Amino acid sequence: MEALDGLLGGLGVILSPENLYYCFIGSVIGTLIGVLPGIGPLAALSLLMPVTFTLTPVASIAMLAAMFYGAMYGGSTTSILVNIPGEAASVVTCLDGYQMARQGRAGAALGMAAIGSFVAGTISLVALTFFSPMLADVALRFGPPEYCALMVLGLVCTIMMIQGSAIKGVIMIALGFACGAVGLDTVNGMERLTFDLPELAGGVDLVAVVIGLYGISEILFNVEQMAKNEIVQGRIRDLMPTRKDWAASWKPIVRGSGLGFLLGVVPGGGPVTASFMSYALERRMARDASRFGKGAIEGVAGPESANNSAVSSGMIPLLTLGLPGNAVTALLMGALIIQGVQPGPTMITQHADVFWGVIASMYVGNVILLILNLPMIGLWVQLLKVPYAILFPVILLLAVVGTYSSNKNFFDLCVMLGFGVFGYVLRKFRYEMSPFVLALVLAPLLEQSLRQSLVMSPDGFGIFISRPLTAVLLACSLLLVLVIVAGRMRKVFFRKTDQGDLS
Amino acid sequence: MRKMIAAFAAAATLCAVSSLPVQAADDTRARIESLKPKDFPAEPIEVNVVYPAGGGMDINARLAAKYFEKWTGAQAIVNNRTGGAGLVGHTYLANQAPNDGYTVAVIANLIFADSMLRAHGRWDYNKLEPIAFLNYEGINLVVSADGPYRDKSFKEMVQLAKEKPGTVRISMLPGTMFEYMVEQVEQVTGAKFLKVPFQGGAPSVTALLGGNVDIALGFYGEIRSFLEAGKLKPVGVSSSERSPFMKDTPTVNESLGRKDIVWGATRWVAVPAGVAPDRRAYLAAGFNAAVRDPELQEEFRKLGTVVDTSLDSPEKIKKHLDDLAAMEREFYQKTGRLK
Amino acid sequence: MTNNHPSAIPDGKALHAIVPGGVSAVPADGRGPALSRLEPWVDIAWIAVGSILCFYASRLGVWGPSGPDSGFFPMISGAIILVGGGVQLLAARRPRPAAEDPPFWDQAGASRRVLALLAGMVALILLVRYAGFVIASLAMMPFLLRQVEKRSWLYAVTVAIVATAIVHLLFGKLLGMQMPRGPLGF
Repeated sequence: MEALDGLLGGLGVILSPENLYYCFIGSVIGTLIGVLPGIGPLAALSLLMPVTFTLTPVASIAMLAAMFYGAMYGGSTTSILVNIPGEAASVVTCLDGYQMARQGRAGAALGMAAIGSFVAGTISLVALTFFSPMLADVALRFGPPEYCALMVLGLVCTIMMIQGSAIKGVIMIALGFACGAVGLDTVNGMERLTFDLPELAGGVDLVAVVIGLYGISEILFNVEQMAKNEIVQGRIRDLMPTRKDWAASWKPIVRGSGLGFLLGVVPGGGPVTASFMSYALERRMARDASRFGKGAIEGVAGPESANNSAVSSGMIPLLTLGLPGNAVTALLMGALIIQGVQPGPTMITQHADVFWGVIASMYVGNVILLILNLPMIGLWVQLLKVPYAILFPVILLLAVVGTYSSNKNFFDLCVMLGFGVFGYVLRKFRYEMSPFVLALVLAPLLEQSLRQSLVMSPDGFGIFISRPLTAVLLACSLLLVLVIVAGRMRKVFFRKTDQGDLS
Repeated sequence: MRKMIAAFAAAATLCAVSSLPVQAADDTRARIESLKPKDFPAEPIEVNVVYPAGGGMDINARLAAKYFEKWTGAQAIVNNRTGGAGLVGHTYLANQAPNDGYTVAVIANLIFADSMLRAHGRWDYNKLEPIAFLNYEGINLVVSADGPYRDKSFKEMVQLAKEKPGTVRISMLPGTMFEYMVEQVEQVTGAKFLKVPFQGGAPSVTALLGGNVDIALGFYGEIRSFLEAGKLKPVGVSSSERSPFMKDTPTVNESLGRKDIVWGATRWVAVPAGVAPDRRAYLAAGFNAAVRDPELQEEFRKLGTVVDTSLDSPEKIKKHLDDLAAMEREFYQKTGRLK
Repeated sequence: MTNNHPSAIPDGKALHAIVPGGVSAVPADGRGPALSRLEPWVDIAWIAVGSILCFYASRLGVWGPSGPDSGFFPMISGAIILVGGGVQLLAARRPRPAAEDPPFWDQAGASRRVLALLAGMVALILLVRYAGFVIASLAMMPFLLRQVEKRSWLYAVTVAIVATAIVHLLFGKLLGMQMPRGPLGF
């Protein structure tokens, strides 16, 4: 069949020594960038893009793409080991991954992250190979109203993630919305909430916020509590996931792959949204949701699979339609254009070798990354044995350099420190950070698509009901809201009854 | 014997003539080399772009940097200083960038809007001095080849927008020339479009193909593959002359019988004010040589831009840019954005 | 993210200071006031932040011709924060038993460590800005290294040099990034 022919042709292209070499280099660098906090795939790809000018199109995109999904593999490493997300898509992995590390199960967490990423990436690629044209159409059908509905669903998932006090969670979400509004208004281009600071015209930098909120506050906590000198609070065991872990994780991996795949195709969706929707989904599906946040392996398997899957499917709109869904795919598009290959509807016919070569390179890259990452787990786990007294200044140094690296902006360092203190203080009062971060990411997207839809719509809010896909998504959100409310009411009700019995 | 001498003479002339381009290139390189100040550049030159990597501006800048390297042998690294639709980068370049010659920027005329409307007196575009002119291109207006407007000309759509205001949906980027062009068309014709805001050319084209807007605005690089695949149809371009890539598409001015609707992206290379004259001359020579390289011109052409080599001195460039800025200023004053 | 760090059980000294039906007093071991005493201030901060947001939002304009305007979402966020803070403030009447109400700092001496660390971090980023990465790192790392565990200065400086070198190589050479420079040019 046609797709298979194309793929085999692509494999033929990629399996040349030169292309393999660049795919390998890309994977290694990608893993490194993923591990280093702050510097994300976008910064690294833009730094290394000039290197690709002298290469063939296949080699350059193979390398750049490998860096992208390699960063997704590596990003989970620091999240799990030291609670600093390697990039925004790994924030959710911190929640349970780091707790697993504290329980001595870092190996299992790292192993599951790597294997889950591999499985998901591969499943996603297979789907891409056979279903690209169909999915390209779906991507087009996603207009602002559909997008808005999707963001509403994301918001509901964020609410679902609140584990502690509901009021505190909602306050954090509202704060996230407020911080997300800082910068230029996406609809009329005017500055908003920037308090006359030109540095804020671009909004608060997400990387700086995340590193501060999770990484710096964690350092502050650990230094405060120097009762234990190490991160690990017990014996280190399980260098790899156990059978019980597999039994618990295979379904999250499959679900994460599916969810990530769908969210990656939608323009602007991407790995970040996919990762936290997967977390919310797994919490919902788990029999005992209270395990989440305390080291539940499903909380690592699902999101890690989702974010890798989203990276692969994000290539679909790029390659088949020439429409980049996020900043990294936009960069890949630029790299292709400079090489003289115009991504879009004509690419599969005019540059079939590049098209299939890139897709084949992703299969190969995923294998390379698995082989690279698994043996390193032993190494990473050893790192945890380093006394914290030495570890934390190095982490701090990496955090500072990493944050500075994204925009070369001193203000970002202040943001990082500020949010570090903010996170530290609030965590003491039992406020959760994840709802804040997720709202920060979602808010601009939700607001923009809502206002776009209303501008477009001849009948105001009616547009959300008259379009089928939008209506379906909104109905799902409504359903979830009812489920959450019912759950909370039940808890309150039962608590009241208990107290009544006691008195 | 005579024949031999004639042949020999012919061969010699042929050799001389064919080595002329190489000779010229060597001359240029030698001239640039002679302008090179002592100990400069001792490290890579930072070419700043205030837009994200992979976008239209970025590609232009990377190509310019690549050919600058070719002609000077110095290293040039592109740095994307993004944020606030260019405002963050422009503010940095105007106020904080060091003028030691290691900071260079590839700027587009979008800086005028930032300077006049959003800088609030903190800086203005004159703080960056142009040293080389890159290219320019108009904004293209496209419709979907399968959509309800596929047989209409822009003139007809304007008429429709006049008769039934708010029914023709057009995409635009708020706070940029895209929005201003549409507004100007509306002003001079009395038409009323439904302006749907987007954050770039790519999302607008997606919306157009999905039937969510009727006309999309974009630069050539963003629409080229769709034009070739026959999915989009161009209906107008907002430059003063027709685009060399779409010779059958009338300009907006032609469609409406006017001369003053000229909006597009103009790109040039600039340095912060106050760079030492010798370093400045060196950088200018390097970039101008790059722009005159036929290979780079071909690359720019492939991107859909028009190269103008007549602007070959900083004074000429400045005059041209000042004219453009004056036109924009007038528009802002007329529409009440600027007092 | 839930705070899963083990909170220390208050020792005997603190327990005896609890006033029945009221709020636990400041323990005598320098661990700061109880969380429940400090929390109202957080809620007051929310009320303040919420009000400021609502004020700014109203200046931006909440509703426009085609629906929500610039200030719409900031207004809603501000309102939620304001109301949330207010509700918590009003609901915090119930006194909590001492076991559930730890002091702000988990251990004696913790405040000194944390504040020293904070000062160190501020110094680090200021130095990075004005003196460049290398100097900042070499200057601040030994100080930070000694915060938690008192080792010799020699040990601290050695680790600082090694760490600085590795990070510089990693980011500066391998990834080709320009590291922040100081007046000395490096």
